[in-house]
Amino acid sequence: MKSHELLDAIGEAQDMYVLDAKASKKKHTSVWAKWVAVAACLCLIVTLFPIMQSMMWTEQPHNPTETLDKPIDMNAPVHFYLDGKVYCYHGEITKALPEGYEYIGEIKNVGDTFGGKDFEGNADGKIYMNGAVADIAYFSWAEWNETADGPAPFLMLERSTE
Amino acid sequence: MEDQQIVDLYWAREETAIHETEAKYGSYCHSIAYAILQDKQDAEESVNDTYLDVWNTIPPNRPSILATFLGKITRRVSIDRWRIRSAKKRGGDEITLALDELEQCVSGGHDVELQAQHDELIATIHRFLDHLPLTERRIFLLRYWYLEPIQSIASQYGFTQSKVTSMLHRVRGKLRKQLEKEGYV
Repeated sequence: MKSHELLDAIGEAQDMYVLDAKASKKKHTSVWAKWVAVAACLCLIVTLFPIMQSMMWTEQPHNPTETLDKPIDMNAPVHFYLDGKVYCYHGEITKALPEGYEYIGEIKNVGDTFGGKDFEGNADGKIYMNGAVADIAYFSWAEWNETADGPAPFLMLERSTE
Repeated sequence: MEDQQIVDLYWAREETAIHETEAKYGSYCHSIAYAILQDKQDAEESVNDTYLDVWNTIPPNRPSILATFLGKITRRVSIDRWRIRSAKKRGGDEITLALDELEQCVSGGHDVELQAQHDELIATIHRFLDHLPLTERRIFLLRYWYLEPIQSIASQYGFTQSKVTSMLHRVRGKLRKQLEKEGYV
């Protein structure tokens, strides 16, 4: 097989992946900004540690089974946390938002841990839901450039069954 | 205008379909063509060829996502133009030029066996992409679908160029393993 055949075959990649690659741009953080963030976190830990320690002695954790305390995988498909469940992209993409779905909030791209707060996730974008269909959400990228990339598509996210 | 309306214009053989396509997706197609050809005039001509190709393929096609339908044609047309241009630059390579010219006579027909092999290779690429981690898949496609420079990809992701290079090296290794496993190499 020749390389040009491979190049041609790659040209037939799945539409959703082609659109996704063009739309995705990881936020660039400068080196000094990272160090400022690290310093700020250290200050926060030093300040809050005694308070947290005293609280741990007096209070049991609130229903710990409902929280997902694990690292966010930036390589995983788009996913976010809401109401005790994880919604994850499974590959379906649509050109228009289905009827009945409306904007309910934006994913906060926390980048390191999944602390169990609503709308924490691994991509910057808007979430749309339909009150009658709790297990399906739709996602649109926050920084989609319609002029350069065409109309913004919507990713279908499914609620995990775990 | 909605994509579906534009597709309807093509089906009705209304020439405004091309103007609407240009207004909505002209810059998208141009960015793909320019990344491949690195020449404004060549990119412009490729985009015009894309519109003609779309005019000739809708109908019978009715694309569900017009953006990628256009993008794929722009990419193919631009790569073809790049191949012809490269052959010309090599100079005196009349055999290559003649073959390219004759290609137009046979490209309409389908060699069933070759087409089946090509389809199998596409299916392999699809499976490969399905199993790649998100960031690797995005960077692989930016490099080998959109043919963007490594420097540009690194800048978009806030990575160093060496990180992107090593990531691409790793992904190519995975692709080679899959191609070996499926008997292509």
